[in-house]
Amino acid sequence: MSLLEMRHITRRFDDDTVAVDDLSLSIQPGEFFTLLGPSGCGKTTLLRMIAGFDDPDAGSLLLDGEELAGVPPEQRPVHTVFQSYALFPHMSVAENVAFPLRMASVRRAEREQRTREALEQVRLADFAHRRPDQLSGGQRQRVAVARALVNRPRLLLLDEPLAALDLKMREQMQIELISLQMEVGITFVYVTHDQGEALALSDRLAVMNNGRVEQVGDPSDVYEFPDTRFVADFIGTCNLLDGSVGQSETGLVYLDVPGLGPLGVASDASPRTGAPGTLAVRPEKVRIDARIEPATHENRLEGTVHDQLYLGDVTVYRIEITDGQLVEAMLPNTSARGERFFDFGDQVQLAWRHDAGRLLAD
Amino acid sequence: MPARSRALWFAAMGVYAFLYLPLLIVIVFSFNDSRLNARWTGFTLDWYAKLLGNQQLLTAAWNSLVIALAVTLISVLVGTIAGIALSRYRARALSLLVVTPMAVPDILTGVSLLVFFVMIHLTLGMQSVILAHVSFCISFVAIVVRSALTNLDPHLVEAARDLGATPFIAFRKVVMPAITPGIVAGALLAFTLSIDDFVITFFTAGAGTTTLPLQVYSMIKVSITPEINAVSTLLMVMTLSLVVLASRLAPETIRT
Ligand SMILES: Nc1ncnc2c1ncn2[C@@H]1O[C@H](COP(=O)(O)OP(=O)(O)OP(=O)(O)O)[C@@H](O)[C@H]1O
Ligand SMILES: [Mg+2]
Repeated sequence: MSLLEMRHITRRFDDDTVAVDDLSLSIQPGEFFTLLGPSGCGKTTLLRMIAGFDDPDAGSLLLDGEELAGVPPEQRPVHTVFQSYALFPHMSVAENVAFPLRMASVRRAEREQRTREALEQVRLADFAHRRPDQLSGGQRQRVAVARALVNRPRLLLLDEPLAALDLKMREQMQIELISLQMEVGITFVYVTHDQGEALALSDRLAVMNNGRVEQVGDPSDVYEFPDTRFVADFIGTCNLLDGSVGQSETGLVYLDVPGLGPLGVASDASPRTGAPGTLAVRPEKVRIDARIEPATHENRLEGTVHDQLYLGDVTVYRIEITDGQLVEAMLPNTSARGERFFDFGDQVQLAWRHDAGRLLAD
Repeated sequence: MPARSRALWFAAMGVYAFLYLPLLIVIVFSFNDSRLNARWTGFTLDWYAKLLGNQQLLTAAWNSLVIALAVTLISVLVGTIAGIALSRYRARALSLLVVTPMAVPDILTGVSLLVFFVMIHLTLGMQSVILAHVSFCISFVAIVVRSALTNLDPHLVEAARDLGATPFIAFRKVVMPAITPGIVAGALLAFTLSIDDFVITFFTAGAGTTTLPLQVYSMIKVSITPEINAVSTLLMVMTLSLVVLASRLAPETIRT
């Protein structure tokens, strides 16, 4: 049985904004689940309804099979790590962490021991007597996590907990969160608009847009096999070529792209001939070279180098293909002395395998 | 120093002298060994000693103290509740109605309260003075408490609820500690406003009751003695220290 069931949840504000729109999801026990989506897509609204600060206008939430409607936040075994951390400013670090235990009337000896353990878990044992305003951002964040975990909730909600930290700190905290989650075995529901974070942290993730779920799956599924144009575009970068469905054979569809001819794409679907479709292919799947021998199971195009972006580990080339459209190709910088492979205006050929692309029907 | 900033410096010094010289003179002459406020003849504490023997003055001081304490207590209770209501229901009209009494001229407040008290047949005396002072002190407390609540991170209450606190416990454990400095600052303000109010007290005290400011006024009608300088100095020291304390406790609201 899933731990948390969301069934057809809808939440409207002032009648015209639909923050969450007929959304259904189920969260499995023990998983690290991420809600990923652009600003304003309804992530916080959804978390607030799970925590009990807000109620859905329609639909139901079930935790361990039990309806949550009407249960006040203090009675839900769900704790939240707020983006602002919301540490109590007049309490010490230890008092903050002990707060949920105090609320649950845990006896003093046990309370002190569990507080100490929780602080050790986030490596803050030496800071127990400090006030929150005497801590760095990363330390505050860890206090917030320790406080939310200490009373072992069934579900931990985290609303962009790393957004306020700098890049280095964020990467370090990501690693710590993963190992902490494995250690305590508590189900995490994590909210972020950072796709890299979502891919790195999650067991499964849901991509949200306009209050709806566009796709749910494990990170590599969602990255490699986007279902919709929005997902392909929002996670990583993706070349999108619009056309209409031409011939198809088993497992392969040819898309007629104006000016480029038919391009093959592996697909189990058998779309109607003439239906509009989009071919999505990631830049790192596209090979470029001065000459590429034609091969079966591959699409091959020609173009000129339009511009290039040197990123250190990789270089992204933008190739103008015959009809004036740009296709991005990403090449690892494998040469020892860092010389460039191609220059502006070079005539190149590019190719990708049929099964490296993805047919989006929308 | 360039000429322009030197001119600015002199202007500023002039303003400060204008503000503080009269107060300084009162303090200095309260220690003067002469009945006349004209010439320094030597240091003495006689005038302070004499205060202790002035029965009328002591009664007035006692009345002022009782009034100020009662006013503080009532204003803090009612004003805190009003401040919480103001921060919850953010209608502009509500705040305006609370702030307005602070801006109404004292003389108008005094006269209208007098008329009102007579209309409802309230006997003038300590009770009417207390009610009158409360009517303008509530606003100050409400404003200070509202501002403390506005600065409170709204997620704190949610965090407390989230971690298992009932609404009442969340209020006690999170909201109260955050607004207590504001409440104390409001209390100190109410106390100082009450203890040195003259105009409104003058209208609402009736014939039998006198407070410290009223007593001082009736004494200077005869002559300005060093005794008055001594009372004024004591009053000044007390109010100034309370105001400083209040501004320490609620720095966002009462800037120094
Ligand atoms: N209390 C509210 N009253 C009115 N509209 C609201 C309220 N809360 C959220 N909204 C609207 O609902 C939509 C979703 O907001 P939400 O805060 O859930 O987005 P989000 O995905 O968390 O975005 P972000 O990444 O910026 O935090 C937005 O259009 C927002 O303006
Ligand atoms: Mg949000």
